[in-house]
Amino acid sequence: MTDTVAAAQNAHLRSAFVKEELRSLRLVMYVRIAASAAIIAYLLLRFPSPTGIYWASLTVVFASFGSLQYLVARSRYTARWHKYVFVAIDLALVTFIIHYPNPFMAEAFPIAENFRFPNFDFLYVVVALMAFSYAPGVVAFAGLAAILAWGTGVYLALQLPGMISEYDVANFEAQPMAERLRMANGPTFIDIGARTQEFFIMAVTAGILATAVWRSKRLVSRQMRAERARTNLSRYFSPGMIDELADQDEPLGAVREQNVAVLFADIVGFTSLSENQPPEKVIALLRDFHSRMAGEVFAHGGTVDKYIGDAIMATFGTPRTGTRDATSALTCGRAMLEAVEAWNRERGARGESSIAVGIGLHFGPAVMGDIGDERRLEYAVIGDTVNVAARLETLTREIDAPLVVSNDTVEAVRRETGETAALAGLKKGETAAVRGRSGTVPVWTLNTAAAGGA
Amino acid sequence: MTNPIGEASATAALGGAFAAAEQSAFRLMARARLIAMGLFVVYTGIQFPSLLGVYWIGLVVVFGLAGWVHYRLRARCPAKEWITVAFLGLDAVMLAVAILATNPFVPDPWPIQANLRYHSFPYFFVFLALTALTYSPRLVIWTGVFVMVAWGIGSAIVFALPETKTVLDYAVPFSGPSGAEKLKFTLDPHYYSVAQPIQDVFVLLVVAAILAAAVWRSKRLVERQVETAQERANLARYFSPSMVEALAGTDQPLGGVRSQNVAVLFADIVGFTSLSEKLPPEAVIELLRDFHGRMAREVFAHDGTVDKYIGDAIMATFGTPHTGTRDASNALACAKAMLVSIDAWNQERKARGMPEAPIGVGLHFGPAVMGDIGDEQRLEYAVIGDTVNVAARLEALTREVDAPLVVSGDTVAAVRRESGSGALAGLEEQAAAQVKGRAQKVPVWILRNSDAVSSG
Repeated sequence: MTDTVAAAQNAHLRSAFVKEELRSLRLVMYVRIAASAAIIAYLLLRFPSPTGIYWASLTVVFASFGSLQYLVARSRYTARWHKYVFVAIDLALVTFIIHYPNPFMAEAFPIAENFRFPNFDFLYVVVALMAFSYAPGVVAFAGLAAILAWGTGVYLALQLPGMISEYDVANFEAQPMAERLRMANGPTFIDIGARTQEFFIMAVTAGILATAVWRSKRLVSRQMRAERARTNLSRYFSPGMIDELADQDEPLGAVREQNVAVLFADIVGFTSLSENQPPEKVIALLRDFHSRMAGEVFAHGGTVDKYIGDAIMATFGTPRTGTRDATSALTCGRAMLEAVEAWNRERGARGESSIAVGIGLHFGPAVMGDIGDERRLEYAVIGDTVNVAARLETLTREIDAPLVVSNDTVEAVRRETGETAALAGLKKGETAAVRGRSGTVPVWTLNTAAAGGA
Repeated sequence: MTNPIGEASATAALGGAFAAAEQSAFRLMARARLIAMGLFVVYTGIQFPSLLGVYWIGLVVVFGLAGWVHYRLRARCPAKEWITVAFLGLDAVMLAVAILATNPFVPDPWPIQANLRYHSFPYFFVFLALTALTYSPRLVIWTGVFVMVAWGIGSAIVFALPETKTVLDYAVPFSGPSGAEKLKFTLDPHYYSVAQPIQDVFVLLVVAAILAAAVWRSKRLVERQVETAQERANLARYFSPSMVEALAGTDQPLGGVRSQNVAVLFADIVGFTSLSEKLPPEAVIELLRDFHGRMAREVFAHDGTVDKYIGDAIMATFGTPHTGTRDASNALACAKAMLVSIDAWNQERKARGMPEAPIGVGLHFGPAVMGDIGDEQRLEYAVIGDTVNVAARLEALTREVDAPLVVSGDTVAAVRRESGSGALAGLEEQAAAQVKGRAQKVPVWILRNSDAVSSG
């Protein structure tokens, strides 16, 4: 892969990734609102008083941060470091809500009680919300920030007058059990050992969630690569064929035989036309011609089977038989002639030579299925019908008509739609011998004037 | 979807890929669990370097083992989710017991109520987080439910102990007495607050719901990924392996056009039409698959690209998408290998009483233009130019000169440049041939028969 391709790929993945991250932020915004609602309900049930309302209102602030982060990420002021800032603010806010004395509480307990009660649990809510992100580093940072925020709380609490921990008592562990129990259950005692355990468990949990997020991130980038490859590869198939082939898990599967209309179209005298042209000009001419022809094929519900040099082979009634396959094919052939005429008017205006095309059309049974090797398949339409259509196309040179249609096609059109406009101007020609076939094929032709009038 | 059968096979393939992703998730979970347990062993060893610590380390090892046994069982029975559910229940029960049971190596244990104030409940969050590594939101919810039940029962047992003091044991309503009195009551070593297990379990359930939502998203992501990868792989089969990356990585269709020297090879079955005339359509496709398969194998073995199949013919190029140093030599070696392969094939066919299928191979080397042709809705990466036409006509020439391989003088010169005259063994120079659509005659070399390959 060249550098430019790799660079384009990276740019493509980055922008797709940003979109996916935004989707994730929107999802987590809703999850945060739901979790906050549950916590608010819990708080109001436990403290049906101004005390509870105070905490519940602060939880509303916490809930709104998710929407704020989403709005910032969607704006043009977004930056990568915002994620770190938001999670740090979240954790600082939750720590503050828990430890800052509630002004509506009638009588304040010593702050040591805050640590004795399992309030640290709430930080897990913040860290769990990070499981939606695609940044393992930010999840690890969230674990660290939770420890830092809570640790700062512990440190500040210990600065308050009278507060002690086991480290303020000489030989705490050596004291008799009753004495340790008495101290540990003192109103101003903060157990640092218990806090250390909390921090350690938080670090391990954050590590596990970071692993989950790392895997999600890998999954998303793999998904994007596959999606992009799928999209780029699908362009090499006719729109109607993509799902059929993409869903075919078993290569070289069953073969089907059905009636199809096969159309060949090419530029008369392409070799001499392109002989003295630079390659870019030749490709430009081909792209112009092919896209005009393919446009008509798709407009008439057909499938572009393949391009063979300047020729285009199209089928109608693939992958599924329709009720108007022959009619669609014939109408498509006539539309192609009109498209070429329009093209020639443009070319004439630019002082370029006119292009003549030859179109052969046949209707009959053909076999459809994967041919080739497991490593290089081709969904092909095979059979005498294809060969005859190709030969009718070469016949356009000999009998000097732009469109040669087999009698089988004309009969199929009559069966499908009766004597319609599709058949207008078609003249029954003589029976033509077709190379490689023992019998002869009755053909119908359309001359240019009739095509223009149709 | 094509038909019920195609749908079923697609579902089966996707299910297989999803099962594989689930297996790797369980492996990741088992590893993460072992690492987490290892960390706890280190932490406990440092915090309690005594028999006390040995007991707890022993407990951690039991958890590690349980995780490993679970992984082995799930690897053997991938379909049985109840195994995981059972182990999650076991985890919750074991952890509740481990937290509540007194360490037998503590010489003078504290009352259990005072121990609960040490707050070891967050260990449950570790086990909950581990389920976030699966692709099943149900398992996360199960863990939350199991913890609720296990911890609820454990706490109920503690409340039922005669010495336990809690709000319910207080004579007057809790809100009645003064703050100081309330504080004194809660600081009793045998006090266990009813609100403590409620808050622990409530927050854990909130976290479980959040993680279940995250896992649900991961599950959807994995399903999408598996499906897209499958579709990409299915479409990729319609391209030569060497071309897939280049085409899959091209975001702008109808991009630049390149002009470079390539070797172009055409091969087809002589008399295919008459051969296939007598065969039912399935047999014709069978014949083609057999023939194309053999030819494509040789092309890939010689670093070539299968450009397209045209009916029974196969067109291959060498030096695409990027020019190599032995493109012409590879093409010639490939053509010879094709003849040998077809000889073996015809031996088989003859032995089975089937008609032989001789082939003709044409080979030319020269400048060609490469790039996307067609319409934005239906592209084809094509090699275009006179070189392709000449190669196709040299293949047609095999019938006239009655030799299986016709090689242009330009190819011979290129092979000589690349690998010396030795590589040309078996080739005979012929009178220059008139090629349709070309004013000048083309100097040609032929290989009389495939025996010349083995002799050369």
